[in-house]
Amino acid sequence: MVTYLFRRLIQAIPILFGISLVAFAIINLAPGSPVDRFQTGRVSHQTIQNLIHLYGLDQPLPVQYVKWITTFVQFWRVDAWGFSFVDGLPVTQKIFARVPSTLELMGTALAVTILFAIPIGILAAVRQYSWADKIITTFATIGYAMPSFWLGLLLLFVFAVELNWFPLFGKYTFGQEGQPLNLIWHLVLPVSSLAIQQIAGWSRYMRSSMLEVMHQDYIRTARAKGLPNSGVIYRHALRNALIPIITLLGLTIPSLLAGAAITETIFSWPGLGYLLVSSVNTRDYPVVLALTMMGGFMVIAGNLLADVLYAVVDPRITY
Amino acid sequence: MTDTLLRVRHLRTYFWTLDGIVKAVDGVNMDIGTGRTLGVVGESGCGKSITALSIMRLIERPGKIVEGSVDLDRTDLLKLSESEMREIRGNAISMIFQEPMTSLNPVFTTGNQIAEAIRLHADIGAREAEDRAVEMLRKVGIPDPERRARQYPHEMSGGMRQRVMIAMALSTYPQLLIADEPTTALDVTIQAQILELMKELREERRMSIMLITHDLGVIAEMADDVVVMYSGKVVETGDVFTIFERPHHPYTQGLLGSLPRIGQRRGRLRVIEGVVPNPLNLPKGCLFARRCPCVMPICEQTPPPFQEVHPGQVSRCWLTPAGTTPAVGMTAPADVAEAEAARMTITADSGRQSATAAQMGEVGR
Amino acid sequence: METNMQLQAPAPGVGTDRRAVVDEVDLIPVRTYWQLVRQRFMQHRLAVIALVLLAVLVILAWTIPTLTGELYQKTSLDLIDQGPSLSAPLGYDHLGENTFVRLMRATQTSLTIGFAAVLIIVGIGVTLGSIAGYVGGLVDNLLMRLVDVVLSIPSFFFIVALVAFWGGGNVWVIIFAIGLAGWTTAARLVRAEFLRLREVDFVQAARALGASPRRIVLRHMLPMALAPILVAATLGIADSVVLEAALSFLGFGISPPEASLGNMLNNAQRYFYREPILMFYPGIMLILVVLCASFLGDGLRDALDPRQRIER
Repeated sequence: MVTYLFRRLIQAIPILFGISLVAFAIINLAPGSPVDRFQTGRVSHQTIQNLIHLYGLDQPLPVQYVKWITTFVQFWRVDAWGFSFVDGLPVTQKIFARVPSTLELMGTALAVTILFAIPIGILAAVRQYSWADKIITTFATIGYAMPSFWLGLLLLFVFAVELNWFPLFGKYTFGQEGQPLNLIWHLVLPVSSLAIQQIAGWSRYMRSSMLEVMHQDYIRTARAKGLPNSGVIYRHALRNALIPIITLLGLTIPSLLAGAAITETIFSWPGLGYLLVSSVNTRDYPVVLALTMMGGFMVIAGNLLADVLYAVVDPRITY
Repeated sequence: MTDTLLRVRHLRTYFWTLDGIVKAVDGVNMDIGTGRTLGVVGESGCGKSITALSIMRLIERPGKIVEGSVDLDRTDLLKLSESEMREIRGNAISMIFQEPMTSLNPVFTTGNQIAEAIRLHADIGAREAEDRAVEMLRKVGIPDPERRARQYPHEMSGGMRQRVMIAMALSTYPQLLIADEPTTALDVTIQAQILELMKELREERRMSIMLITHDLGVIAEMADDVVVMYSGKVVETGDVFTIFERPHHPYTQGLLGSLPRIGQRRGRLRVIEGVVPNPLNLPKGCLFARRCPCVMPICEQTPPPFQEVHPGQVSRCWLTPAGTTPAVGMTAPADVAEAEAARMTITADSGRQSATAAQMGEVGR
Repeated sequence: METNMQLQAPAPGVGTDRRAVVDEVDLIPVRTYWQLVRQRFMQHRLAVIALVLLAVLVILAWTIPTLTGELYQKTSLDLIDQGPSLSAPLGYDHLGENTFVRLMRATQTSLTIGFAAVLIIVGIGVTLGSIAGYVGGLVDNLLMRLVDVVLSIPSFFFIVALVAFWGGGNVWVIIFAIGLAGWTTAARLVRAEFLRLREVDFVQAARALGASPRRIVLRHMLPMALAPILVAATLGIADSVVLEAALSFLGFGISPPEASLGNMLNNAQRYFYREPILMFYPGIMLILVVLCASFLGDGLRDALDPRQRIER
């Protein structure tokens, strides 16, 4: 297992390298230049030339890339990821300050998803064709079709504007920073808008996985032993049905990141997604570059986690 | 005959499919004597497995047991509540299945799965159950049972897994073991070993076995009594000697005729022509009439009665008990068999032609 | 129902009459593959409804903007916030624009982007997937590593950066960004199908007969891989439409006065204290498109590949 993990981490390096190439190319091959925003006529030509030199923009692209990547990997250094074009703060500082908020939002959404989707999927599968199943399937279909940002708007309008039950934006009420209850209160709407679509997707998947397992021969064996229905479902079927669900875990990270970018913007949640949107708007290249790398890192970590979980749940997989 | 352990009467199990009702088991009667082995034979899809699952009451939607009784020691299993039935399953009646590769749960160790069966029906602790599971594995001839009990099914071969299934089924000392094609998925040598094992355990325990197979060789080796099924119905029953030496129903004769035998080189391997009738569109007379080499006008009109043709031998056929049996018996002299084979070749070909002609007529209509 | 016996026609010489033979032949009607596909698709009620609905949407979204010309971006001070009327079934917004006409124009834009992006996805996916699956070896290995890289880039970040930095608001940039981020699934599907088909008898036979690789791929393998691609493409339309909406919603995609479902939502968000109803129209249109595409995809999957069908 340890050697497997080590091998997987080694394998992740070329992928991260690939991501860095793509991200660098998108930003540095794009028409326009980061200094364009100073071309207002009020900044002297000499100053702009100085800035270009300062940022190293006058050097050939491969040189720029090598310089960027060699410092970038030293993430423990404050200046490793450069400085923001907007406020001059170190990018590492800006990003790491936002990581907890995003993890809180995504982690809660994921936990809520698992907590709801798996029992719902089991219920729908066990009572196939019943009213409960039909209602669940209908809601799951509609929920899956509802774009999370539209749902976010809807929730914001109903529960924050009209009913005033939950706050409109932010992570804490001013003056109550760090209080868990206040955080949860602020989390409800953004987590709901992220999780509902995920719950819809996961429960549909769980239902079909469970249905497939229920038709397997070993379920018949379990019944033939005289096992009660609950034992058949929760002991024999569930563990097998969960195996394919783990794949979803890896796949969900990118979609949660995308959802987070939008949800954080709608709810002004101080996370990575919100930072990405505002940094793209202000053409804050170092921050966008670092965020893309950070996102890639999270996706790879999610996939690795899924693979490790596979080995834990399925004895047929050995590394 | 000895006393009867299991008595099945008028059992009907239907499946409600999108295209109509399939009468998978349609009025089946059978008896299994204490300590005896009943062989149930027939082509795939004739209702053998559904009969077994009906006895266990393991029929699931869209299937349903419509009618009948299954008496085990004078208790009608079909009248028990679901929880009472669970006490029977895996306890008084155990079952092993055709596919050892998929019949064990992949995420639990074999020892764990056997111990689970034991603990379901005996009030003992987890440790003790595990010890008994290891004992059972030893009993079914698995070497190094302590280690094997800690292994997962995927770490074992098919024959080994079938032994585990048998160990699991027998761990609760059942009165009746239902074995649904237990050796079909296995290699020939492993087949022999598994059958040998079942025989030994049967003698040791005086257990009854219901052995479902389409392999007449297995029947000849294992069974005391035989039930031949066709299209959801029992077409012939009798003890194994009668069935093999004096088969009455043309279908049974056909089955025996399609058995390859060593030393018989001349003549073709005989086949029963045609296929099992479509269960959604059963003919009104005898179900076998279309494939029967001795079909008579009455067969197409009226279903034949289930009548005793000899003491202890019952057959669902219009042929007289005296047996205007065609010369297809297995003891037929070689030259007769050869002539028969030649006839069959010719008719098979002309049959194909006429089918084509009929098809064309159909198009032209 | 399966049987171990050989399938042979009953012999008439032994007394079976011909009608019996005809009956049995009757049970297996002769139909071509596409007739079967059509028949199975028509049995899928939701898919048929989705197809009809999608067709109606496409017709409306193309005729109404064509008939009304520039009306969708015509602001008018005296019409601001006016209620529904015959010429404006959904009333007017805060700029005095005709909401219904604007919604139709937005649907047209969004669907165009959706269809075009899927064309790119399928184009790249099929090309790279079939090369990887047919050639195999080192080429396959390199292409699959590329797939890994693209899959590991958080696609939304990638699209946002591409669209924002490479000419914000340009329809083509949006289409290419969505296409470049989304081809991996299609490529994997085609590759898997090709790997399987490479070993299949009729492909081996074609190869043994000396057919050129081009011919084998185009005539024998691609048609077989068509079913999963078609299903993936249908679902891809929905994804692309939603992606565009998300981009425009965040202000990176299509910007006013041009209309798209996303920028209508963005607009609605700004004015949602005043006119909350405005956020429903584009939202419901989005849901409708996604639902139609997913039902259509389900129906196609069942119709094209009956093996995948477990239950109705």
